[in-house]
Amino acid sequence: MNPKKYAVRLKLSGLAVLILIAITAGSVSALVRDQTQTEPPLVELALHSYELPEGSEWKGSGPTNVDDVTQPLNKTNSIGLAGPASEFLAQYEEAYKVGAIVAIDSKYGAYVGNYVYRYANQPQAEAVAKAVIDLVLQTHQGKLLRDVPQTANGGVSGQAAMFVGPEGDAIYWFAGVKDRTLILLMVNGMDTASTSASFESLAALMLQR
Amino acid sequence: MKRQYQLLVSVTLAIMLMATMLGQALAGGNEPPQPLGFWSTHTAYQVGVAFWADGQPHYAAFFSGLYGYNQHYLGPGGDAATCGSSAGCISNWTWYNDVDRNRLLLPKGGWLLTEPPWGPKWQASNYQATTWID
Repeated sequence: MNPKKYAVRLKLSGLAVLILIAITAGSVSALVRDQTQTEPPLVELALHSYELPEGSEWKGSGPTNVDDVTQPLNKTNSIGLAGPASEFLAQYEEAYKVGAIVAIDSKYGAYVGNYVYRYANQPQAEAVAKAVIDLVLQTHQGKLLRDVPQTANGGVSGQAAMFVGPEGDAIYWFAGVKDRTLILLMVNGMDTASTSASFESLAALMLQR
Repeated sequence: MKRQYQLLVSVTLAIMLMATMLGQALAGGNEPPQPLGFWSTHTAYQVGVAFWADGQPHYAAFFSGLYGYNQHYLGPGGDAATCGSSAGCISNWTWYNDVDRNRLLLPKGGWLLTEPPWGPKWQASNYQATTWID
């Protein structure tokens, strides 16, 4: 081959490779930017004080992290999740928590904890959601209350379950997933129909996110 | 001229010495070192979830400081009112994490969960303890 032609071809090939790399990098960055721009902030997915029934006491809300043992998915896994999810349960990118007390029949109180976590991908969020419900159903022989499958429109899918604790209190869990975001709702109160109804209405709000 | 220079040096040194002594006196430099903390009896600043175990939340009254003891209930009925709780009287209630001892665990049964949100048992200011403040 003519050395001059060979040199030109080599330059052209190099240029083509550079253009290809630039296009790929641009597409990836646009994709990432697009994903983060369309995802709602965690605070939007969490419970708001105006959504609580009258007589409720708002305890607080804000960002949280793996070092915070007052939220269930901390790095010590003291909540006791089992299976593969336990390996990455604390590997979320960001997290937000809400605490409140709702009135039950105007004479009791039930604690409401709402925790929202953004994982790297949807399978991780789904695996942790499953581990939470498994904990209720298998470790505590709890009761499955609701099973909402994933819909085509990208809404929240999830399950709700409950068990009765050693002090006779009822512990309700809803674990939902929207894209790569995990939404946990926990209601802890007396084991009464009114506590169950309060949980159901709050879980319904989570499903509308 | 030489004497004036010597006088100026002497006066300057004297002023520097006096300033040093005054500074030490003001800073208490001759006093023995003071302890870094103190015991304080005060009320909690928050009631909420202290930790999670086996899928369940456990609640506590949060205090500033460390090594809490001498806990009391200041709400209606005082300490005696706590004796109907599932954990017995407040003197027997335990602290989360024996190292820090700044979260007094609150029983659920016969106490928190049988109380409406606005009730005195949910109010941090009704729990008092003595802690070490650094």
